[in-house]
Amino acid sequence: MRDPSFYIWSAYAICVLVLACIALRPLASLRTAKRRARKLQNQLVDHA
Amino acid sequence: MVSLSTIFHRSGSSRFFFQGSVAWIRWLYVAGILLLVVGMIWGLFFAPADRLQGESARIMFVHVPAAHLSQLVYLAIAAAGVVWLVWRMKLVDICMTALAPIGCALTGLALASGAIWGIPTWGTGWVWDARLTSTLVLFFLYIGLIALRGALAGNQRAAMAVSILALVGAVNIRIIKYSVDWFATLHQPGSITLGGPPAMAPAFLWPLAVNVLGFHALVAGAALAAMRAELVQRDARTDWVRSVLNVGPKQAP
Repeated sequence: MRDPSFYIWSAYAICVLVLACIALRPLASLRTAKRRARKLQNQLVDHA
Repeated sequence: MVSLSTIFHRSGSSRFFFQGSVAWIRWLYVAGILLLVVGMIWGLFFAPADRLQGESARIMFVHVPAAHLSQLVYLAIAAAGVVWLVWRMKLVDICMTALAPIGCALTGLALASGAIWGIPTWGTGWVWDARLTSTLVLFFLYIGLIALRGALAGNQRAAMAVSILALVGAVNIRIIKYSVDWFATLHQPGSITLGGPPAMAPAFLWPLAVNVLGFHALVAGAALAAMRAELVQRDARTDWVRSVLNVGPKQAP
C-alpha cells in the first residue's frame, strides 16, 4: 500500500482535470460553432 | 412588471436565451472557480484527518460533490424529457443534449475518485456492490443518451428517444440512493439526509458544502455555455444568429 497522500493527490488531480474539461469544452464548442455560423452566413449573403 | 408566464415564454426564445445567458455564465464560472479553490485548499490542508480513515478521508471533498451532481444532472435531463414530451420546446431538447456529456464526465469522476478512495480504505478499488454497480449503470445510461442523440437522424426523433431513455433510466437514481439501505454494501450509508441533522462533524461539513456549491456553480455555467454552443450550431442559418453575429451584406467599395 502506498502513502495515503498519493491517493489524495491523485484524486484531486483527476478532479481538477475533469472539471477543467467540463468548463472549457463548451467554451471551445461555442467558439467553433460561432466561426462556422459566421462562415455559413457570409456564404448565404454572398449567394444572395 | 414582467409576469412569470412572460418570463417562461420568453425563455423558450433562442435569441432571448442566447443573449440573456452571457452574464450568468460569466458569474457562475467565477463563483464556481473561487468556491472550488477555497473548498479544495480547505479540504486538503485545513480539514482534520478522520478518526478511522485518517488522511484519505480528504478524497470525500471531491468524490461526494461529483457523485451528488452526477445524479442531479440525470434528474435534470429526465425532467427536461418530461417537458419535451409535453411541450416540445426546442431549448429543452438542447438542454438534454448539452447536459448528457457533463453528467457522463461527473459520473466518471465519481467512479474514479471512489475507486482511488477505496484502495487505502477498503483494500480494493472496485467491488460489485449495489451502490458501485448502480453508479456504473448510470455511467452507461449517460453513454446511451449521448449515443442515441448522435445515432438518430432528425432532432425530433432523437429528442423523443433521449426523453424516453432519460425517463426510464430515472428509476436508477432511486436505486442508487437507496442501494445502501436496501442491500448489504461495502459503501457507507448517506451522512446527510433531508429529514434529519447531518451525521458529520462541522469540520468536515463546511469544506464539503463549499465544494458542493462550487461544483453546482461550475456545472450550471458549463451547461449554459454548452447550450449556447448547441443553439448556434443548430440555428446557424437563421436570421437571429446573423443579427447576433453581426453578419451583414458586404459594403460596396
